[in-house]
Amino acid sequence: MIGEYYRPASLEEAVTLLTDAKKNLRPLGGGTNISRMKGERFSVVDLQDIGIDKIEHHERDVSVGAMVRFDSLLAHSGIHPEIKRAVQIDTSENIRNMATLGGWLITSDARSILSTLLLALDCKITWKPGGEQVSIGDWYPIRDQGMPGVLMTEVEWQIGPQFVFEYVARSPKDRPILIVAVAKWGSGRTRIALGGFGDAPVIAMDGPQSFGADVASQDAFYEAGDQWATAAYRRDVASKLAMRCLTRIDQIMESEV
Amino acid sequence: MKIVLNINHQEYPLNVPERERLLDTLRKLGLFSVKSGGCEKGECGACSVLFDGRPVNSCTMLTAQAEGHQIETVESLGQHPEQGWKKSTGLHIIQQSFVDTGAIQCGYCTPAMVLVSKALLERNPSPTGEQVREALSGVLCRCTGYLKPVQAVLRAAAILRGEQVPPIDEPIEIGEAFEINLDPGGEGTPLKSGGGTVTETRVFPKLKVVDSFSPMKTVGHAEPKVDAVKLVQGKPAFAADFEKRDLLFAKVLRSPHAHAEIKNIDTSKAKALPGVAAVLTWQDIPRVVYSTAGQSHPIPGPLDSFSLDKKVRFVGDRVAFVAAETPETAEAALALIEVDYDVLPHLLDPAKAMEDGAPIIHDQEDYVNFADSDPSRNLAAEIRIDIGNVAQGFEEADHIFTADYDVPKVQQAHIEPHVVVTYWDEDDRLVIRTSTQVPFHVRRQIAPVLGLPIKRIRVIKPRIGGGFGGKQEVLIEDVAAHLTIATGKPVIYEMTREEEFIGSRTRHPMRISLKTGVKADGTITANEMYCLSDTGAYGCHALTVTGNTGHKAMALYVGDGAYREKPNIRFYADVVYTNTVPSGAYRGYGVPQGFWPVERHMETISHELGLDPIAFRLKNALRSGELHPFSTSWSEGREPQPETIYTIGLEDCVEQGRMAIGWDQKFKNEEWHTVPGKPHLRKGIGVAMVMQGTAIPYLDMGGASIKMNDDGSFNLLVGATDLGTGSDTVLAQMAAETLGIPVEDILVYSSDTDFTPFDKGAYASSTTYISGAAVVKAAEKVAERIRARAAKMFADSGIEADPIAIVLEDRKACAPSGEEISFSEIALNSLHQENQEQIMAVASHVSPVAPPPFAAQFAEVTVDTDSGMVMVDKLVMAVDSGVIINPVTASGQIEGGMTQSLGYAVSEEMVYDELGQPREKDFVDYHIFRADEMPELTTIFVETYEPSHPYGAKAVAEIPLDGVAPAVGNAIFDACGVSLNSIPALPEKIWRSLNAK
Repeated sequence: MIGEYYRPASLEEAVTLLTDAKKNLRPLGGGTNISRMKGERFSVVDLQDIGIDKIEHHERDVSVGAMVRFDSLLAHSGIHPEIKRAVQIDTSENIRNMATLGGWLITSDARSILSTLLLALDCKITWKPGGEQVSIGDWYPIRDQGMPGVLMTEVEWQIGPQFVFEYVARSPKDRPILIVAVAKWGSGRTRIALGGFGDAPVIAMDGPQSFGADVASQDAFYEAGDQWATAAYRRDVASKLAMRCLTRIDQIMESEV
Repeated sequence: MKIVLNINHQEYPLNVPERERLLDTLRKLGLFSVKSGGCEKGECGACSVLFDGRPVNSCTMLTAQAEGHQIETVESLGQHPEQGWKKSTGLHIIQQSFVDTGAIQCGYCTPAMVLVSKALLERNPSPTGEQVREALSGVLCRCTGYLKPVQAVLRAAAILRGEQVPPIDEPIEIGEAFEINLDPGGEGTPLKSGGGTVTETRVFPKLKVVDSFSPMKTVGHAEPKVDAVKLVQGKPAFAADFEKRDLLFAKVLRSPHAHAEIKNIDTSKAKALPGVAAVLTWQDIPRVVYSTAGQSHPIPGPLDSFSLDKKVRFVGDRVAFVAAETPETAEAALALIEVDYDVLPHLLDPAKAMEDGAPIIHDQEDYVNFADSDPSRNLAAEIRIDIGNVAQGFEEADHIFTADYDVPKVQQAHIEPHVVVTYWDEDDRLVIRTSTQVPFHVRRQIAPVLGLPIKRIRVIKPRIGGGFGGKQEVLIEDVAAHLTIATGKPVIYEMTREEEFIGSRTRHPMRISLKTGVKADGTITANEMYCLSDTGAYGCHALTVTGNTGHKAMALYVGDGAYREKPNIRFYADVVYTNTVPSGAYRGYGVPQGFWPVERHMETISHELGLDPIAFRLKNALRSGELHPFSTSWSEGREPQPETIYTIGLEDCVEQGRMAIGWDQKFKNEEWHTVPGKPHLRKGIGVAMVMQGTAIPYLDMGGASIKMNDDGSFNLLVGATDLGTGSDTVLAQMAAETLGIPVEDILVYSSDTDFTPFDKGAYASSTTYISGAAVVKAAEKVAERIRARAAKMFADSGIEADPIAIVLEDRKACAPSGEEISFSEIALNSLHQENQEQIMAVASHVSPVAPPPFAAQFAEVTVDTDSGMVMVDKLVMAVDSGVIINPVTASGQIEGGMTQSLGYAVSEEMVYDELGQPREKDFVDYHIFRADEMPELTTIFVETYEPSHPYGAKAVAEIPLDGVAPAVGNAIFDACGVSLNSIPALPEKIWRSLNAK
């Protein structure tokens, strides 16, 4: 249950508040999740006024403030269409107008296409205090054990790689039971993330080339069975979708040549 | 905390708790257009508001977050055009478009849709249909199928751009056939016209008009819904939109176990919590056995339920009731109730229910049997129907086909949760304001439970935010009523979305075995169905739902030749208890369960024998003038009576549907089945034929009263319950047609057990047919009085006119000689001037027949053969529902029904783990279709004139639930050869079949 409500006016003020362990404070992004948390009493720090809501394009990457809402992400011309497509499947219009990228990465489970896609892209997340940049692949496996800082401020990914995703669901906008996201760099580096099972998406492969993508995808979901699908199903289809993604990426790369 | 909110351009200084949600703040301020869907994750969007101009969910946002922002609700938009001496700008153009296009059914999500549309059109004045669907994606609608809301937004956009729009009431009539358009183009594509651009709005369905039907002024026309103006403004029209001093909030403690005895309950800590007014357990209230099924007297099922019991029979069963000053306090009190359970072995598999040694779910001594129920075998109902000589029929067959089929447990998922308010009125009568489909049944059935005579109870049914059978149940009224009796105070009880899933009612899951004998030429010689139906923990609707499964689905195919004269049909069913949430009534009432196996089976037979699937079905289907084969053998717990079916438009439906979907161009066309450049995709096309019923003969009764007012307008009081279907409107249309007035002169009120005549309620697709006939009878009586008085008034003026020859039209009584007297003159004469009388009449109607509607359902799908994922691309339904009283509201029923059935086909199911814990508790896991993922929907009406109804109508509400799942299943088979026997068509099921080949 929520006790106190704070709305700091600056990033520094927010970090100071959140660093005070005695108050049991939690950052409040868009409000799609935290307002319904019950049980333990805690207080919230509303981040809407602290200015971490910018999208910036650099030569080799794009950085997105943790408080950037999904509707802003969709409206921005510099955001890759595949990321926009992921947002449109993951969320409805109302959620897009509330949810922030930072809040989404903290609260979403493995059935999020966007989170799986950003994992494939090897995005980097900046935390305060300290400004430490942590790879999403290093953070996601230990997300339940705590955050690298008190506040996520920025998410950054490279614009060089080609990336696509495929998914399986009961209907086009249902939560997927299987997601395969593949990113491929000009160097040949290929990174495959799988979602649709568990608490967070996982990396199936990160290698200098795409050879063995099908086997790697099978192996990563070797025991990925739950009430929604068996492991045998996920293994088989993940490998097929991984190969389909690679074919699509090769077609894109060929068309660009 | 103290904050200032800017709501609808006005500053509100407020003191709110930090934890308070914006939804609660707004409703406390009286902004009742902001609805609660009972969800907590923002899944349904009924609570949408505009936040700095963009739609957000107020149910997950803290009120404190909104300070410094502009909040808008629908209350800030338009208003009713008539405001007395004060000038009014009328409704906002978007609101008016929603009214005009029939985009409003129950209206619960309408304010949210209007706001979302406003936000869209302010940033994009010329959206495409796809962009409108994206914008509406955050608002779930269980009624409309989204087609008409999308058209409403496109129409509003066109008007706001200054364009012309076509009239709504412009029939798209079809003759023997209409031209197929394989590429219909995108929705809302601006079309060039002579006078500029006209944006197409396709809300009027394709309609093949019955030949014997003469032109009418209101019947057959797209009249706007009579409740649309209040619903589009978000007026406080629903059960929860109600303020009462000292209102207490009820919560229910629910069982964590599937089967357990309550050894002890300690409520002392809960009672001691400040703000708690009452805590009730089974020890505090009388033990009265009853059935929660809202049905006529006597209830055709076992009495096996109690308000509270010392035994719990499913996860979610009731343990205790709490009333407190705030919802939070009531919630906190639930956590303080200490319950000591003796956990019992549980039963989840219906196939094991009747085995020796199975846990007995109802071992109480006060269980009251109905017919063949036997609680010692967990048997809630048993059905054994034999028609003709089935054994001989099988002997005469050249081929025998047998197969087993499964259908899942699914939820009605109305967006308005169950909600009730109870209070003592000034006469110490208990008032129950409740979201029910059956107000008169509620009053009758709850009276003994509360220890009150029926006359001390008044049930008020306001507008209902969808029901679909889920509210044909006396499910919540006792909770609030017991707490009002205990405290003397008004109490509101509103289910959460989780409670809807774990503690209300569902469609019966079934395992169905079919055996069919067929001659080599495709003649069916015998047909046999055995159905194992799972009623869950209580037997509400157990017999009647499952009886309907055979009564409708096994009636369609009687055979041909001599078999047509004497069909051989067997329908056996066992309806068993399990420790799961009870099954109950759900739109279609057992028939969708029956048509999944029957229509999949027919497809298999036609394929195996190399027969054309359409010709094979029509060869064996019922034809006009034949007896309903079950009519001599079974009725819903009553004596059966022979019924001849006079109107069957099935062949015409098939013809129109196959042309609309392009069957002849696609079926068996290999090229059409492939997708260029995507070898993993396969397209398929499927068909299903279905029938339903129209009311229950000799049982369902509807009443109506009509009263003339001073100005020549009329009050129409009906006990029928419009739960969003538009039934109030079609009743008004029939009254208006009979009286010769526009619909706007009919003021409809439904329903209040103190004021409106009895009606059995909204179920069995009966309102237009039964209640409608009652309305017409009452209107005819009123018309007779008007003619008599008009004749006298003409005579006083020296004009001779036989009352029978006086025509009522355009609000006037017209003599054969051409003279006219207005209704307002007649009203003033009758009420104030001469031989004063109140011109009014009451009438009721019961039917000896239940003429079935028929339909042909077509589906197109694309299957990903790597993953098994199915995308449904197109649904076409051609329906014979008799004469269509209102084509726009009727087509809304078909579109919404097909959409619910689409979920049944591919995405909806309720799954339990080995302990009976439910997997689905919200709209995240239980997926109902969003606006932005819908297939193309087409509705065609092929009219017949049903002679047993005054305007020739039959039912329309339930039949769209029957055919989509089997048509999709058959299309999947056509696409990739996978013959599914169970739904939903999950990707893994299809993948398994593909890999087993």
